[in-house]
Amino acid sequence: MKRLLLLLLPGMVFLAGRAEAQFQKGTVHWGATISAEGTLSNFETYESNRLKTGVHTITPSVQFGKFFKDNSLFGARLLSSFNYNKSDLKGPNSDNEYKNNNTNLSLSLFVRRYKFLGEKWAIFLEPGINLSYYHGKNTSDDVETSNGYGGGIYIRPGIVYRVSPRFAIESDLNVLSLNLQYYHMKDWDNFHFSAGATSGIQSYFGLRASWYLTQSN
Amino acid sequence: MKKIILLSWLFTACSITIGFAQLEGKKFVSATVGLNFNNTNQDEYPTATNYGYNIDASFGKFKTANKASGWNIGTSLYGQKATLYPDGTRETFEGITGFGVSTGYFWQHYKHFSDKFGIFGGPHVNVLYSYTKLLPNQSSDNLLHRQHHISPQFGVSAGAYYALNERWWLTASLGIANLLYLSYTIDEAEARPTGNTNKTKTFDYKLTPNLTLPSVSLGLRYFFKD
Repeated sequence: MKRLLLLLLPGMVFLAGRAEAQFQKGTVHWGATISAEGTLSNFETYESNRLKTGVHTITPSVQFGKFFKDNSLFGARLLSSFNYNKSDLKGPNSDNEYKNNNTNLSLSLFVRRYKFLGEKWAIFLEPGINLSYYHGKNTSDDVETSNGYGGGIYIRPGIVYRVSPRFAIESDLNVLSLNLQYYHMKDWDNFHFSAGATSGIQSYFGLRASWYLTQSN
Repeated sequence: MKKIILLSWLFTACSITIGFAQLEGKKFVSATVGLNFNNTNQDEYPTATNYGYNIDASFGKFKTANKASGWNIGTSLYGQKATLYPDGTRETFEGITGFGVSTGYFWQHYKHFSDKFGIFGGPHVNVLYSYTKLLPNQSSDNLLHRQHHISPQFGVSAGAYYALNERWWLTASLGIANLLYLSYTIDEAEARPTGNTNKTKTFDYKLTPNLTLPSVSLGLRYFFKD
């Protein structure tokens, strides 16, 4: 398992050694993850109509934090999601182009309390607030834009595996989550409340690379 | 008392070392084989037949006691005989409706908890090619589809083993992460009996640092004699 996680991110340094089973006050924390996916397709009919579509989503996220006391962290996370859709229909009787671009930016401020389960594993509980901004743009015959603002509070647990004293892999577990969101869009307001508890661990969870840099080093 | 503990500790350490040292240079194979055949005979309808096989095998070698690497290969073939009535005219399909080949390389790192039990994990690369023919009655748009599909993948996977004896290990998969997935598909959809064909080319990519917990699948691994 250690090797599995070790190999997840090439180029990281493996420093075998004793791990102190706590994060000291003053330690600086960085974390980052990214995911991307997309589809390009080209559809041609025998009547020589052609439809080209492209869908791309890229979701990078960075976070930064500092331990204000042992095992307690104050942090901020910037999560962004960029979504591009394009479709282009050309044929003897048609010529249509449609584009749709969405951007989501979300800034979270959070506090984390860690608890070590041995030298390598730790769990944390993370309550936080988030502010989000949404921008969407539709282009077909004319251009249509929409903007939205949102805010919410959440609490969720997570798990950390320390590969080395400085490097760790972490994952948020949606075992128990509480989320309150308010969205203000141009034409409509939306108040959204969701709370959930699941007994099982979800079948997949996103991984984040994280660094814990002790100031004295 | 101290001496006994020390001695027994030494003994354990030695026996574990000996157990591991034996793995070095060992070659192993694990394989799954599937065969299927079915025949449907309905009153007032012609007989419909499906048949096929799939074989997936991996050949590996322990470079050291804690490291192994090797090849994955797989092949499958499916065929059928079916009678369809597109546009009311009777048409019989007979022949191959799909085949696939895949090959890949894997690297595994082991952590042996005892000489019986341990875990392993590591990265793998795989390339898969498949050809599929979907008969009109099997596709949502009632067209005859011919699909060529090629997909390279990079991922990491983890598993556990239990040594039944010197020759046989029982293995179980614990988790898999498909970090990078690419696929290219060409689909030709033909309307019967006019022969008008629509063509779709699709390229997919996925970069996902997610860990997936699979339903545990068990396998057997056989070690060759030196």
